[in-house]
Amino acid sequence: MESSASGHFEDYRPEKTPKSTPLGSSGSAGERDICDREILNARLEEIERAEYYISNSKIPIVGTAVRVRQQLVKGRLAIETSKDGHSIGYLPTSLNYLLGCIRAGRTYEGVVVAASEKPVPKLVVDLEPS
Amino acid sequence: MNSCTLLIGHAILDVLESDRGRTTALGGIFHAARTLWALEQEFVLGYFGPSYLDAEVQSQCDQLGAKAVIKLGNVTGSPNVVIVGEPKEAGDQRYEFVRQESQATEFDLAACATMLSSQSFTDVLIFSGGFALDLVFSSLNPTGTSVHLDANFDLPSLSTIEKLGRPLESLILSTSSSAFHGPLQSSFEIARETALKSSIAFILKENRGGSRYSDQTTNLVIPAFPADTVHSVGVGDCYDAAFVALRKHQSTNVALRCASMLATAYCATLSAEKFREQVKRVLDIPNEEISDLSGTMVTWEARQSIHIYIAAPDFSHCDRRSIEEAFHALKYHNFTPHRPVLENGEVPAGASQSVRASTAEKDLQLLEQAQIVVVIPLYEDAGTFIEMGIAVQAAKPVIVHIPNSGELNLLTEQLATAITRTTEELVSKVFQISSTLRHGIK
Repeated sequence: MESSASGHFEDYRPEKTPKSTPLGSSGSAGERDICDREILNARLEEIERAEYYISNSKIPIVGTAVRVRQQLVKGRLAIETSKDGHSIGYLPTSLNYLLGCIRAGRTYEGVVVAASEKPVPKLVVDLEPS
Repeated sequence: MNSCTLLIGHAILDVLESDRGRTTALGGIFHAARTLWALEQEFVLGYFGPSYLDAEVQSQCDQLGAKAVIKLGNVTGSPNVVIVGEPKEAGDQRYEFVRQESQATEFDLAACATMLSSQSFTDVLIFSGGFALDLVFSSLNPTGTSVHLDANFDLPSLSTIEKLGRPLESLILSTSSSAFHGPLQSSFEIARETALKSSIAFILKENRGGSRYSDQTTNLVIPAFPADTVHSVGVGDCYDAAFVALRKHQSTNVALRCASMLATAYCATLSAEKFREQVKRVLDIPNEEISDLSGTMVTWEARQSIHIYIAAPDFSHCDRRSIEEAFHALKYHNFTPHRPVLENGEVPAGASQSVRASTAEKDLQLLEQAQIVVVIPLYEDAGTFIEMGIAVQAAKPVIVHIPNSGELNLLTEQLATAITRTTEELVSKVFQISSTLRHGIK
């Protein structure tokens, strides 16, 4: 898990509104919706089992445009190339909450920001919601 | 009848200590209440608490849309305050119940009887501890309603449960509870066997390692879906309430997986509104995907076989607090961490070649046997980085843990499987890697 805890502590209570109307949306001041957050420096997993590596025997280069695949692959959220739709690896399970965001209509796109083959294939991506 | 859950337990004031300061919030039974509110499920609240909290209890229940609020008993001698020293449960949460030893809880039988006769509900979820559970069970006896018991703070005897006049629908425990580690000897099998004598189902919540469900015909292992943790207080209660509410309309497997996902959502924010938004998103995920989604699964007993070598300048002249904190946090979660300097000895200056060779050999054997290596570079110690290099070459997962420092040497940074800066991050990463190791995914 690359990101650190965010937000700040305050009283945990819903906004004071009458029972018959929707509750207020302010919540914790300044706390971004979890689905609106950028995902930075996400290190991918199972790279050698992904479609791209199997087809090309190598990893994509830095700058390759990627996106989160809309469908789960064997229970995992996969990252695929935007151009060809080949999976290049999988997001860590700590980012599984994105599935809820995706089903609510969000998409996530980004780029490969780090790529190396030794000692084991390594890919790092940045993603933004769109 | 529409679903409606009767919640019974204490209203507690949680005081969370963190490096950002201190904050307070109504806890205890309110974690479950918030969950049912977020799920838009009806609930009735039957609480025990001191009189100074009554107004706040009523106010919060109004905001949460409780169908009814009944005070089942007054608490005296204690403010019902819990100070949580470790809100994220990286290690022991260090719960301190203020003046617990002088707490006295009355039981208002008349109020309970009025509640049961005037309110209709489909399930009862009880958080035992600090009140006369036998009287509650006796009162519930004639209702015939399904009763679920979270027994983390008070594991009742068989004779107490018999006062209910029927088996519990589910008995829920956590590996964080003294009940699991005391009378149940930290054993899932003993806990399961004990629970199923008086309950239809048994659930053991295992923190970041997932949870297990068992009844006479079915055994399920449910993954945890850990994410960034803002707090870990009441997360288990959220799980309980979500399961009780969702099982009415979902399979047990889906209900438990959703409960696990909602527990993640609960610990990821302090905003009730943000939590509710995330709950709605989880509920919109198709059941097939809920069933398919992978997470972290490392049972309590399986963790003991995960040996973790702590590579660090663990010498008596160093400030070893970060090493000790990491070690104790991993022990708390039942992993097997090793501090080779403590286990094999700190080689003194001028030690003989024989001692030096023997100690080095033992350290290397310990390193070879470990499944995970945690590197804590308090300073640029050659031995620490040699051990890291050996681990990397052996394709062992290496976590570099730097709670106190910023920049890392290039190769240290690039060769690490993960870099962690807090104990909570370290523990979460160990769980994640352990789950991967257990299930054969690289």
